[in-house]
Amino acid sequence: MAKTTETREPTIVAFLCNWCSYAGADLAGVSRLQYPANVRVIRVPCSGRVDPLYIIKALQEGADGVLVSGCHPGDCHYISGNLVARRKFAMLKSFLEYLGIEPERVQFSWVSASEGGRFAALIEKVVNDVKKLTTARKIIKKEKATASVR
Amino acid sequence: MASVALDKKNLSKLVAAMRKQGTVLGPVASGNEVVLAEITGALVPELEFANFKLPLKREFFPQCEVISRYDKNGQVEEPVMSGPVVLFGVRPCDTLSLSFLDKVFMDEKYKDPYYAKRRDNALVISLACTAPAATCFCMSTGGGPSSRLGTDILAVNLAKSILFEPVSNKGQTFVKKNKSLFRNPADAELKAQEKQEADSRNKMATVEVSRAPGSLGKKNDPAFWEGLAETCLSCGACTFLCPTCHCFDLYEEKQEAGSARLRVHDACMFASFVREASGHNPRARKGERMRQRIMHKFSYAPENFKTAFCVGCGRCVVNCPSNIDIRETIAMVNA
Amino acid sequence: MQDIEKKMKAAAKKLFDDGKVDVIVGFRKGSLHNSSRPYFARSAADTENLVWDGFCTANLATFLPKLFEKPARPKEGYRPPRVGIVAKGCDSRSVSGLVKENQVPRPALVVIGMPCEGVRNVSKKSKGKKEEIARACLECVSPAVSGADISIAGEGRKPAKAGYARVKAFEAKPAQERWAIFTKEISKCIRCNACREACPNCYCKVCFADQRKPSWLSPANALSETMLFHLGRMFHQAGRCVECDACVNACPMGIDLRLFTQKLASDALELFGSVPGVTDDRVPALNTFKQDDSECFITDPEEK
Repeated sequence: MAKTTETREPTIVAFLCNWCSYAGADLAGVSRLQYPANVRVIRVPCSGRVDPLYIIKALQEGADGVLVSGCHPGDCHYISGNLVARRKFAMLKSFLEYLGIEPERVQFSWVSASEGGRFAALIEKVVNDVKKLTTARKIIKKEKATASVR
Repeated sequence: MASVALDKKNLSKLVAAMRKQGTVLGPVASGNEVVLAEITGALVPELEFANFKLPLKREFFPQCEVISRYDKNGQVEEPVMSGPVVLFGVRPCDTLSLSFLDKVFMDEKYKDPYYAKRRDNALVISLACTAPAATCFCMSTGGGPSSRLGTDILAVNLAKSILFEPVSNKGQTFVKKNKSLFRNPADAELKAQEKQEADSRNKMATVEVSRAPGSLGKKNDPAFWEGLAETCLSCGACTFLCPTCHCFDLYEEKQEAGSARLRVHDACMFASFVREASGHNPRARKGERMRQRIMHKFSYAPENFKTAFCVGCGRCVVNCPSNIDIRETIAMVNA
Repeated sequence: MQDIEKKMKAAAKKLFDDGKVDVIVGFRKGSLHNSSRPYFARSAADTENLVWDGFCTANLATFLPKLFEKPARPKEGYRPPRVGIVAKGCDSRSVSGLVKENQVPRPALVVIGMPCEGVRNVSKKSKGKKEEIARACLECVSPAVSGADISIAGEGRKPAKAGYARVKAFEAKPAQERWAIFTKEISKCIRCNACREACPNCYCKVCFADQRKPSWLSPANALSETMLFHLGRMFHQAGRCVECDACVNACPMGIDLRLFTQKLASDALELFGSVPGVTDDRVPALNTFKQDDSECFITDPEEK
């Protein structure tokens, strides 16, 4: 009875850190690697810049999935931004999953500037994971704000 | 107008008759509480409860109301989403608040179409109180446990029957339309109603609300208000639960295509309530906001609307996280 | 209990007599049956009004950031007020957090540590009974006040074993059911902000929920906005929440926020070994890192 295939293309919002993951995505493009077109990239200076509110807001505005990708631990351009982020993301992912939001919807990864192939594979994986979920996006802003009576 | 009586065994028939008039909202048990909710199916309204947690104003002045929408073609006024509704079992303090809010939202010059349409669509059948709480003081605010103000029909819950006293023409019309359900009340029943009313009135404490406007004119000491508001959290619980508080904010919200203008409840107790675009906040201090709340309710409202804006329901007293008690405030103001 | 109250009042009075404080934040008798409420004693005479009983439920630390707020243009010779606080275990955990986050200058604070037996259940949850000891107290792992300047002698509660049984029970439910419960609880919200104002950790001058141009969310209590408010506000407590239940007690609608805040506390312990206000962390758990922090949640696309 559960829908297992998305009937429309999901949208993934990806927060990519400028120095590693965004460059990795660039490399994937320059290398003509194919990956699903469902991703919308937002470039941030560092994965540590990503406020948990960005992720929740993206889900609310209609993203089917959110991806945050930064430099590998030890390689952060700002030394420790990704290390602090790692703790934040661990707790956020755990919290959202606890409330019932599918863990596949919010994913975190490390992609370096030289890993074009890894980036393409990452997008492929995330899009496939989200496609397997039901279409009901949990925190979805209704198109019209209905006049709530109570 | 003359009362009629309904034998309790016919209550479900009355609910069915109400359903013909509109959606029926009444007291429904939910967990350990009684809430104002739709009476569906074979549900029978609860008659033994204190009061609803939420004030009745929310049925006429919802927390969020869409006023208009904008898209690339321009602005479109939003039709008021309201159909016929019967509100059964609301308490006289809450209907008293309607008589106050009517003065704000529907005066001689201006009629708020959202409030007015909902008011028009609603038949209000209130239920007289038999057990006022220790925090109730409706008799000090122009109301009472059997107040007829703001309601269309006053219902009185007796042992084996319920009396219905039409108060407005709308109420009278409803009673006439369904007269087959009712009978004339017996003398004993009318006596029981009188006794119940007297007992309830005797149980209630007095708060000197009527003296407040005069006293407030002389209360200019900022230190008094700062001291009163010291432990206030500026949370807004009192305002949102108050049946007469009606301040709102207009918020432009981006929608998928264009935007919508929303009217949402606001509270003068919030720190940012009068924060200006420049960043300046004329009421940055808690004492200033507390003073404004008390003045609005007990000085400006009597001036503008001939009544203090308080119905003595006690919700603010019960729910304030810091237990700031408006009854004590009035006593201190009058002292 | 009355003996403890006497000792506390004597200590409070002495602080004023010795000129050591400008204000003491404590409790006085409430106006409702069986209630006590926050009170600012500003003189030795005022200390007569202080009480200590099972209804001293509020977390008094919430008043501290405002008391210590520096004025925009401090006058010559400005010094912060000297504040005393009648603290339970939870209050002192909050104080510890606020000191770490530079909201409270510890030298200007005098902590009067109370032997807390637990307080009564004053939340508006429909199933709560006022005579019972509050859930937060039954599950409290550190009722004793740490870092008290003055310790009032007395028998307090024994610490409970940290187990987070409720969190584990909730986790065992299927995802759809968990979401349904979360939705049902959050639907009760009227956006009054009592939870935020009662929480000692919520001291932002402009809360994210009140930011405009741009806004994160509207003040409307549409379900989506309300969820965003609670998700944001609760997640801002990650690694900081001391599980005092001030939010639960303040909520007029009786929303079971503890079911969600405890998950954050449970994770802080499990993932980072941190119990805010108890473990000796120099900074909150999310403001630091360890080289070997868990990476099990990271997606590795090349993993076979």
